[in-house]
Amino acid sequence: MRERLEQVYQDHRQGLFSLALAISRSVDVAEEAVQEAFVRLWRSRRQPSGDPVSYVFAAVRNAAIELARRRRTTEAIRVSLFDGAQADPAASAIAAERQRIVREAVDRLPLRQRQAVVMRLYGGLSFRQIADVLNEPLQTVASRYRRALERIRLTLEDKL
Amino acid sequence: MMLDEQLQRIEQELMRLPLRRAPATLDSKVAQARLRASIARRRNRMLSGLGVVAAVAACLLVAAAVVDWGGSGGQHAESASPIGVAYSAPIQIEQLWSSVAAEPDVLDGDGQAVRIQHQVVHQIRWIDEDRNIRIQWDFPSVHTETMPLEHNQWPVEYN
Repeated sequence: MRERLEQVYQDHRQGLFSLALAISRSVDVAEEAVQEAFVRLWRSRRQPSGDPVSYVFAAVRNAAIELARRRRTTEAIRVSLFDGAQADPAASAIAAERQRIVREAVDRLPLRQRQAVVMRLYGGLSFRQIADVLNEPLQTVASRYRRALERIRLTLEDKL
Repeated sequence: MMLDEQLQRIEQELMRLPLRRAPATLDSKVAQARLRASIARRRNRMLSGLGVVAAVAACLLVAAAVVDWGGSGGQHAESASPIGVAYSAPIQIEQLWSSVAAEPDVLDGDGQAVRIQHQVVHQIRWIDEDRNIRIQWDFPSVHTETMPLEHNQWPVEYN
C-alpha cells in the first residue's frame, strides 16, 4: 500500500499540486493540502477499493477544500495555476495575448470545471478516474469538461 | 472550423501553457507526512497496548487484595486502616519521554538521505504507600527510518 501511494505521488506530483492549487489558489495551502492528504492516507488502514490514482487525487482534493475553507484566500492574493512566463518566448504579440487570455479564462472557470480541466490535462486522468474523484457520473464529468473548453473558446472569441 | 476541432485546438493550447511548478519543498513535506503518520500509528498501538497492560495490572492488584483479605479472615483491611487513621490511596504516575533525532545519511550510490530515529519511553509507576507496594513498568521503543531526499534538501527540520 505504502509503495503504491509513493508511486502515485512520484507519477502525479505536479498534477496533485495543480489540483490543490486550482482549489485553494494559494501555493502554501496547496502544498499543505498535499502533505495533509498523504498524512491521512498513510495513517489510514483502509485499503483503496478502486483505482489508487483516483483515491489519492480525491484525498488531495478533500484536503484542499477543507484547508481553503479554513484559510479563505482573499481575491487579492489568489495565484494563477500558470507560471507567468510565456510558453514560447518567440511567439508573436498576438499569440502572447491569446495565451494570456486562455490562462485567465482557465483561472476564472467555475471551480468544478476548473478541477475537471486540471485533472484531465495536467493530471492525465481519464474521465472515469475524474468521475471517481468527484463522485459523479461519467457523463456529467465529460460534459462539464466540454463546457469548460467551450467557455474558454467563447472568451477567446470575445476578446480577440 | 468545426466546433470539435476548435475545442481540440484549445485543449492543445492549454497543454502547452507553463504550469506553476510544485515547490521543491513538497517532496520533503510529503516525506514528513509519512513520518508523522508512522509516529501516530505507533503511538496509537503503544497506547492501546498500555491500556491492556494497565487493565491486567489492575485486575491482578484487585485479586491480590482479595486474597490478602480472605487469608486474614477478613480482618486485615480493618487492621490496616483503623478508625481515625487516614488511609492514603494508591497513586499511579505516568511519564512519557519522546525524542526525534535526524541525521544526514548517504544511500548506496550518490543519493542523499535522512535517517530519523524516534525514541519513546513510557513509564507507569503504581505506588501504594500503606501496603508498601511499588510497581513500575517501562516501555521503551525505538523506530528508525531512512528516507531518500530529492533535490539535495538537507538540512530538513523534523519536528
